Amino acid sequence: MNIFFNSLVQFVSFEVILGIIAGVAVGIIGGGLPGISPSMCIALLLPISLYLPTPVAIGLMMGSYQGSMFGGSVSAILINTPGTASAAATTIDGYQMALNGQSGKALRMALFASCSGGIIGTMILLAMAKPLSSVALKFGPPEYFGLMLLSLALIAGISGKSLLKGLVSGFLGLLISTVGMDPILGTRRFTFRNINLADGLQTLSVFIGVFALAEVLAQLSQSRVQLFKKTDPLNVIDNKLSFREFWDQKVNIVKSSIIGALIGVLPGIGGSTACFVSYAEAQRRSKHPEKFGTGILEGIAAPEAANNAVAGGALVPLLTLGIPGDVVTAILVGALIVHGIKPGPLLFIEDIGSVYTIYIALFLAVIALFFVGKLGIPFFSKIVKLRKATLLPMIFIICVVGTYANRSNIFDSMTMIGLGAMGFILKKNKFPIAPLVISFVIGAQLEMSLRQSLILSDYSISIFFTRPISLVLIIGAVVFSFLMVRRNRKLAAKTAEN
Amino acid sequence: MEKKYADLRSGIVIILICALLYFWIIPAQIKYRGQADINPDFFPRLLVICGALCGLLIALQGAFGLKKAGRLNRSVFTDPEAKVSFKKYLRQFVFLGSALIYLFVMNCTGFIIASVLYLTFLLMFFGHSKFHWCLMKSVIFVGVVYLVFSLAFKISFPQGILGF
Repeated sequence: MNIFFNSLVQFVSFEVILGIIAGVAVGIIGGGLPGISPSMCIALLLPISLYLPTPVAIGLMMGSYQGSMFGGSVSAILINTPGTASAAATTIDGYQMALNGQSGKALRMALFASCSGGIIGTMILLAMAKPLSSVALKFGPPEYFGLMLLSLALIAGISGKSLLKGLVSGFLGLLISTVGMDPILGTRRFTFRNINLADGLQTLSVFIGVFALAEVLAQLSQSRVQLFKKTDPLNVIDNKLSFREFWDQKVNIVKSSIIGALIGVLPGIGGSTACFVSYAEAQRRSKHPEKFGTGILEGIAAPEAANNAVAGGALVPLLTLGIPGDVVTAILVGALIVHGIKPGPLLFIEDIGSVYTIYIALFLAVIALFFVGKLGIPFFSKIVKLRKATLLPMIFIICVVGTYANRSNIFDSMTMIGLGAMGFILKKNKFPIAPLVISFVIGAQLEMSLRQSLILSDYSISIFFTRPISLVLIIGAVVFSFLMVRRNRKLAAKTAEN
Repeated sequence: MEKKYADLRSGIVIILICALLYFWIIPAQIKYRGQADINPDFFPRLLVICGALCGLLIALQGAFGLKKAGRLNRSVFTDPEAKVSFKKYLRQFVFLGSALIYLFVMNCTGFIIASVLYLTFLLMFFGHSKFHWCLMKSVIFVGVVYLVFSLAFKISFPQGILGF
């Protein structure tokens, strides 16, 4: 209890509160701008967080995570373009409401549902994290290898139409993670006699390169006219959302939040699936399912509650097992490690204070989202109109400064440009980027646990199949991959049918 | 059909890169003394083999698709649909090339001058036409970034010949 209060006291400071508010505001803007993904937004914030005290940095990150989840709905409702994949379902009823002159009401419903979803997601994180970490304490190298394999299996879920391309991207991420010192013998690998590469490729250069710069390059394929075009959102009519209207959605919001948080716990499925599943569930349970798609509050409350609840759920595997459940949490792993917090079961024994700090930051981020969102809706609506021709060059300068700031080394900015070009080539050839980032994050741990296990067993792979937890995790990885591939095929077939 | 050509092309390129890594880059870049059962090149080699297998499967997928459409013949590499138009990516080449020049120039002129000039160029490159407007925006934006990072986060940017 004492540790909890110590963690809580850290947040009673102007800097921390400002960090959370800034994170939420940047997240909403980043999430609201089509083409700026939450992962890109958090990757761009990462260099700033390096220079901040740990609670401020965690507050900034959690704020931005929650903010970007809500931000996606601003453009989804106003200009029929989801700012993030997680807001895709919100467009269905959100834009219809905007067309009906109820954009203000739709935005407020999205905000309140997002906040409710965020709180329920945090509560689910609180309930699940500790028991899961107790199990994870029994893990040795073979079990860790099984676990890493399980998190690699999520590549199957995020590979989209082509599993093979996702795997290539994943292997590339693992290969990139081998640059630098060998984790066991200390031999230099792929350093090309360059001292700057002795520590490996900088996490920031990889994140910013393959997400932000690759996106800037991809947007450059549009014509100058398109880039210069101003998006005209509909007029925001300041129509109020009554408490009764919000209260009527309570069951819908709670149910959608639970769906979102549980989907968030499963690696690789993510916010977009969560919001569509909860939307479908809300429609199935509704007294008037035929009205869905015509612009009703239920159609906004369900996906918005679900996608913010995903944030809490996705932190469960991250904190307890040290495996990122999606791309955003993969970037968060990097941010936490930089601040000396190593996610995994031992975190709950050795550094429970940091766990509480993360819980509190996530909870406060939701509260900050409520106030920032409520006050800022008219302002954020205007930002959605920003021309890409203005925004993208500025993002590039931030990319350069961000990667340079990490070690005050221009070499890191150069590698970011190289990795950005690589990310662009992958994108153009329809190779997904997310598997690369996730593999890069877990690469070192995967190699280490594989080699340690083999050394322990006198170089016999039977060690992975004779230890029960390891065996269960490996079987889980195979079954999970199979299910994900089947789901992707079904989705592809459905898309082709439509 | 273009997708099938792209798959065939991607698969072949992946196999070639993997071969290059396996036979040339890994032996040249991972040097160790003695012999253990698991050497430092074990994991990268394993990854390269897995990557090459995936590349092979992608190429085969593309080839089967082309065969089904009756397009897998001698003209597979001369077919206009199979060609990659580098002209289409000219803007990306210019952008990446200029970005590298910007980083080199930053070392000589310092962060502020290089960034203001480069951001002005980028704004015009992305579609703005008014030079004065672009220059003004660049000065404001670079100024804010410089102040935030150098004053608040104590980052020392390249100073250059003018000392800022």
